[in-house]
Amino acid sequence: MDTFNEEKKQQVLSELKSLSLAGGVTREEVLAIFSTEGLAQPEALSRHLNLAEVMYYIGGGIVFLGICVLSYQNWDNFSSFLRILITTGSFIAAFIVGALLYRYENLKKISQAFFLIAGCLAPLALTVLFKESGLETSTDSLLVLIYLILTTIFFGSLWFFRQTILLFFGIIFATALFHFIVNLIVGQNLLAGNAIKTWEYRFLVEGLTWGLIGFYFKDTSFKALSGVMYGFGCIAFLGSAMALGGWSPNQNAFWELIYPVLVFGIIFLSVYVKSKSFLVFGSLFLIGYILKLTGEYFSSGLGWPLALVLSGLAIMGVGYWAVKLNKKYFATS
Amino acid sequence: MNISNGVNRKNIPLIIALCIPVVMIIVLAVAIYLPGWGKKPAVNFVYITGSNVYDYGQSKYTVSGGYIKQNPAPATSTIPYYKPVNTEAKIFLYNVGDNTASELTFEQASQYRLDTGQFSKDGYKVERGSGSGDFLFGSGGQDYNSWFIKGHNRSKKLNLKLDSGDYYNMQFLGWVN
Repeated sequence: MDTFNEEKKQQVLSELKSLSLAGGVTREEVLAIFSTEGLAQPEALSRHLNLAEVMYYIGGGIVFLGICVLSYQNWDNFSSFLRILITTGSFIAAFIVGALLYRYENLKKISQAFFLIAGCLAPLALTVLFKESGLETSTDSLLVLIYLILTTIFFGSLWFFRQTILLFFGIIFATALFHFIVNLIVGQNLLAGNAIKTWEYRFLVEGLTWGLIGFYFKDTSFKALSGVMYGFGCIAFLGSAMALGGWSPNQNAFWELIYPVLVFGIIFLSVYVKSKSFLVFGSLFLIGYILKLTGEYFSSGLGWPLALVLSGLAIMGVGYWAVKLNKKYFATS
Repeated sequence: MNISNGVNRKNIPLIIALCIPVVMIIVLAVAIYLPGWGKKPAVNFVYITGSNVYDYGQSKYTVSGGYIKQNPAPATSTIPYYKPVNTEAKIFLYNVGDNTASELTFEQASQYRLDTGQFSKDGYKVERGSGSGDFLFGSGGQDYNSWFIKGHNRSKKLNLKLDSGDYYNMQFLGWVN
């Protein structure tokens, strides 16, 4: 929704509120307006991809695959120039085509497919460009530079092209940038065991960040990304929190004890933010946690078969509860 | 609540989301660089490169009671079981102060009292580098083929002298007491 419409909407809502406070309009009268047939469907339903868009994306994916296969089969036979042309050149070409198509209202959706190709090719394009220029692309400092450039390009292009796919790739590249900055700082400074811990913490941070970004997107024109961010955020956050708990006898008591709070927090948040991803992944990770605890602490004391029976009953309980929550809060969405 | 306040409040999740990774990077940088500030490893160590095994897999040199000892060669057998192909074992003393390795004879090495624990008295450990590399070409990076002395969240690359440049061919014997 553009700024003008947003302002107009806020104005109407503000007037409606004032009128309502003054007793000039009742709740029933307002609701009666929405029961009128022919009104636009809620955006929550209309934001789903239609068949044509799905075909555009599949087509874009196949073009990317074709370029990869061509490169893989003939890489050793290609000269440096050809290598750069087929990767960096294809990236630039796809991006320009996407930008040109975006100018036409009826071709805007096809432009997404070209931005998809550009986004998939972008890391390959810059890596090949630097590698063929004689630089060592396996150093963390150069990888930071590559992803800093890509993050800037894709977030910067949002200024000109309001396409969700560009934002999606921008988030992916910013995440990669974060990873390589951490790699750069950690370097070889930590002992192997501690270096692994940084991976768990960085996924925890990413999960939290993605979840919050998803929450921010839900009221913006990029709301299509909200569910994706919630889903990946849940997996990264709960997965890393579980990994941080470790395994007996090297378990971390803090993370093992706090985990139920986190997982139930996510499940209850699903109601607040109206996200099925939170409910589904929260329930799945709760089941995972029950199985982990059973295997870790009860398999030897109670005996493996009895522990399995108890965990099976607990999982059934979680399933019943999750379905009940789903019916109560998400039945209409 | 006016609209501008509403807009600001709406941005709070985004601001927090962007701050979290930045805070982690800052905290990590401080946690890594501060504890090791001004600290340097001071305890030298002894290592072996080359083949430290006789035929059939028995170790040639081991540390027992804090001193290096040479085990007797096993009796020859006609049954071919295990025959190492690497070169003769060489013993080195690594000086962490000037980052150099000097070769020792067995007699010289046996003069040193060795602590075989993983960590030195001043909290350092000799460890192989972890791999790096771009995910597209998987070149592995050079660090995986290097050895480091690590401690207090800092590391220093070692200039080990290794048999035939084989980076796998390094056996840590102990810290010099």
